Amino acid sequence: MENAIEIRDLTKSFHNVLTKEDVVAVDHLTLDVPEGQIFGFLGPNGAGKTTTIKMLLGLIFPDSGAAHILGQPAGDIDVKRKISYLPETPYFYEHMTGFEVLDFYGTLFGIPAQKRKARVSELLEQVGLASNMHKRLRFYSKGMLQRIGLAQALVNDPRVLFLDEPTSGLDPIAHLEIRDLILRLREEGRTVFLSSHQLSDVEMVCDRVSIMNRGKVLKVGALKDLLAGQTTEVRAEKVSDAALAKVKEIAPDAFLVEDALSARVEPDQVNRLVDVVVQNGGHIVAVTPSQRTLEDIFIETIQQAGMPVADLSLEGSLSQ
Amino acid sequence: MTTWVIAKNTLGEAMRRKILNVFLILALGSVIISLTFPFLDFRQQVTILKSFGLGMVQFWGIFIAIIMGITLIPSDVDQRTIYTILSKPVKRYEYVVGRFLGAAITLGLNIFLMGAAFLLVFAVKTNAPAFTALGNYDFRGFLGLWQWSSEISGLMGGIAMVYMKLLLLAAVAIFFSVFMSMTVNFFLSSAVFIIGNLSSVTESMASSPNTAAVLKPLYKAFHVLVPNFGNYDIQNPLIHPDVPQADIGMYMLKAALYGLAYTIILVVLGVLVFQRKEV
Ligand SMILES: Nc1ncnc2c1ncn2[C@@H]1O[C@H](COP(=O)(O)OP(=O)(O)OP(=O)(O)O)[C@@H](O)[C@H]1O
Ligand SMILES: [Mg+2]
Repeated sequence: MENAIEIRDLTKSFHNVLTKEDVVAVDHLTLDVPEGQIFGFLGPNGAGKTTTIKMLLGLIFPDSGAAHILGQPAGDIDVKRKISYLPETPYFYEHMTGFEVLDFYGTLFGIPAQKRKARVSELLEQVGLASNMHKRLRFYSKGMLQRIGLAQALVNDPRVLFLDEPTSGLDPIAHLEIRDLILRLREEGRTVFLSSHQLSDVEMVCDRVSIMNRGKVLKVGALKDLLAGQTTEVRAEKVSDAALAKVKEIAPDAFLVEDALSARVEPDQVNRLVDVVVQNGGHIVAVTPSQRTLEDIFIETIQQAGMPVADLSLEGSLSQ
Repeated sequence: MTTWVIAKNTLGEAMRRKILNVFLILALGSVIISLTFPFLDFRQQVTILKSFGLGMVQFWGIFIAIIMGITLIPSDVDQRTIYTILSKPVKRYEYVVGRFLGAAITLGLNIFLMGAAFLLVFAVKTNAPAFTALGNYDFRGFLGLWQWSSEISGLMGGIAMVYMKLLLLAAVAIFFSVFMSMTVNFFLSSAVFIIGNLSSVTESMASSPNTAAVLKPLYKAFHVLVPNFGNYDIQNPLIHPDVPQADIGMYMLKAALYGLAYTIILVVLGVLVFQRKEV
């Protein structure tokens, strides 16, 4: 299968004028996104998702590395005809009505007037704004603006869509509608690059996901492989680092938080694992069969990488 | 084509923006106020009306030019409306040039409306005696009419000069706006405008024997680098047409070309800076 997006060694740092420090927002990122799939681009706050997307659209420029979309260098004018972007919390010209703003975006693609009118009306219908299309955007609610955002991302019949948090601010019904819309986009053969914190959504719609933190991709794969298999979770306490090393021979994903062990194994390995833990002085706390969710994998991946979840120094600001 | 779409949108935005409309209304109001000026003797009245009217068109025009210049591009960046524009097939130069052209058209429209109101007021106030004379089969009435029409065409030239001056001011503000915050830009553009209006002063300082030698290059640099807004003050010869002014037409053409060239350079520089700007 062809790749719709190919990212090679993409790096971007920002200079903070106040602290005089460089923040590496995206760190030698390499990623392939196959065409015709919904790709979940995941990571905690501040991981570098938006920064990556903005580089792919030519809004900001990488320090090094390169990216190609549909075989052409990212940021090229030709590429931009075939892709679209929904920014996180999008803003539009507030003096325009819903109809006018979509019409304006249509003209930027050079769509002829007659066709544009039909297309815009169709899109407004599709995102449920037909009855509000002659209202100025200043008077739109947050969710209505988000819907305009989706509509403008469909104006040019794009082959690749970059959606940054498309369901933020939407009510539960709108949320479902947008999820269906995204699934329909795949049926139509489009590629969707989806950044979202709604892991249950991602789990439902995505074919592949990547999980990044601090600018680096920690895990990438087909969703069904990542979620594969019924596993059994074993939790124990008083586990030493030496014991963890032995446990890892059976359960490579095992990790310690302080002295508390969390490990997942295939059901037929449970006895072996328990033996190892007990022989090394650990106390078994729980043995539970579980279907792994994307949330488990997300948290596990971030914790295993042994990094703080984000760079937000929450503790620092709380203690002040 | 895309440039034109951006320009048209800029005009539409300006027409719906209250602040610019407020300036236009204030300008029209202050021009109309001159209708109430007491009737002095004819010559004096003409002189006062002219300097007052052109002054008002310029005064309110300055606000429109600066406000548009400093806000058009930064507001798109700050409000992030730029994301959905530059992620579409819009080249960065098309965006900047489109914004500038939109400002040029909006400014033109505003100056046109203010100028038209001024000319109307001027006609009503000054033409009355000429028409009265005409009505009385007074031959000198024709002379008055002829004088009046030459006054009007002179004033149109004056208004055109105000436009060229303010277009240049808008270009200065737009150029700074691609890398400067609105507040800093407001003061900087105003300062450039004020210094540029003193172009005859900086010029004579540079050549005066009384200026300290070390300062001369400084004045010279100021004079060359800062756009010479003072060039457009042809108000004096217009207000006193009896003062001989050789080749006023040629002078205006030169000033217009100078302004156009300077404006184009500023827009090109703005494009070059914006090309690598992170939004
Ligand atoms: N323009 C900028 N100037 C300075 N630092 C920036 C800038 N943009 C992003 N950053 C920093 O880069 C890092 C990555 O930010 P980014 O917005 O890409 O995160 P994200 O993964 O999209 O997070 P979220 O889930 O909260 O949207 C953060 O540390 C952020 O503070
Ligand atoms: Mg983000």
